[in-house]
Amino acid sequence: MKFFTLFAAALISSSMATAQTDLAPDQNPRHGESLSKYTRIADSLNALHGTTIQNTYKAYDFMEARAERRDERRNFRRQLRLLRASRFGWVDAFNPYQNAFMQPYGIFNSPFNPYSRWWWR
Amino acid sequence: MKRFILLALVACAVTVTSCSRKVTRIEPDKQVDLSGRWNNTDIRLTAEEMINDILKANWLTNHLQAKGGNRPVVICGFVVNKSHEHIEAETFIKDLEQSFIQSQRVRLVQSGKKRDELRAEKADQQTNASVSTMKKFGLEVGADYILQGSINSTVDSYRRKKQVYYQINLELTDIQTNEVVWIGDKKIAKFVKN
Repeated sequence: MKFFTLFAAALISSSMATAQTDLAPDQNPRHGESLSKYTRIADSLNALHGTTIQNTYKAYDFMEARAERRDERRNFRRQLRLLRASRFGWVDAFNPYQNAFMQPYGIFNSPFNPYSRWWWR
Repeated sequence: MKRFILLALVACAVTVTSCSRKVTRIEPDKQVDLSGRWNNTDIRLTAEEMINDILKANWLTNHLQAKGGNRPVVICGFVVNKSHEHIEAETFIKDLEQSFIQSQRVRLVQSGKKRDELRAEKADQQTNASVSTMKKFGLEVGADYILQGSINSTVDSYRRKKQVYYQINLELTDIQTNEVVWIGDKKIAKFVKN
């Protein structure tokens, strides 16, 4: 038992001495910790070498913002037209009280009927 | 009737020719600004500035003196585009790399996916190539410096007027010591009136 303890101690001390001799002048003796950490992520990071990482942002542009607002407005109107056409009745997008129960169906509520809008408002 | 057909044909010919697309070749260094966005003129100006700067800077002579005349080995890292536009830095980085090789003063090693491809090819050779022509692992040239960069921009616009400012920075860092030995920058400002 004593022999094994001595042998292990000798082995550890010799390995430490080897590690000490491997160090370059002024090299941090704990550099191995960093090495093991970055060896794990090296492949994923190095794959990006020579590429451009696109981390762009959206800048405010007066003209572009105006065009976007206009597109949004047109799209909304188009959706509203489609909805009205599909329901065959008047759909008021700005009336929060209008629901399926209140929505009268039929030709009397068609957009072609000039009296169709006022009676349920 | 004949006159009518003739007139119709002429009208058709005029319409077709006026609507047809016309493409002309221009010199790559000719300045053409259409929308005010990042374009080939910006790429060219950036590349020229960086090439002039990096090959004349002190880091090169310092390295040659410190390493007994051995040329520095550079690897290209990544460039982060933090601007408001999609910009591919490879367009001017390649010009820079080309200047390294043409000047014969800086050595360049492959990086990224291309390096992976090379290693894969080398691995393939281990089982398929003849022993005399097979390339060995572990004999690559280690880089002394890494080239990294960033692209930033600011936009100021009101009604039909817009000012765009780009700042492109490239940095060369000593891989052993993390010391930044060179920083190059190119600033581009544009005024756009719609």
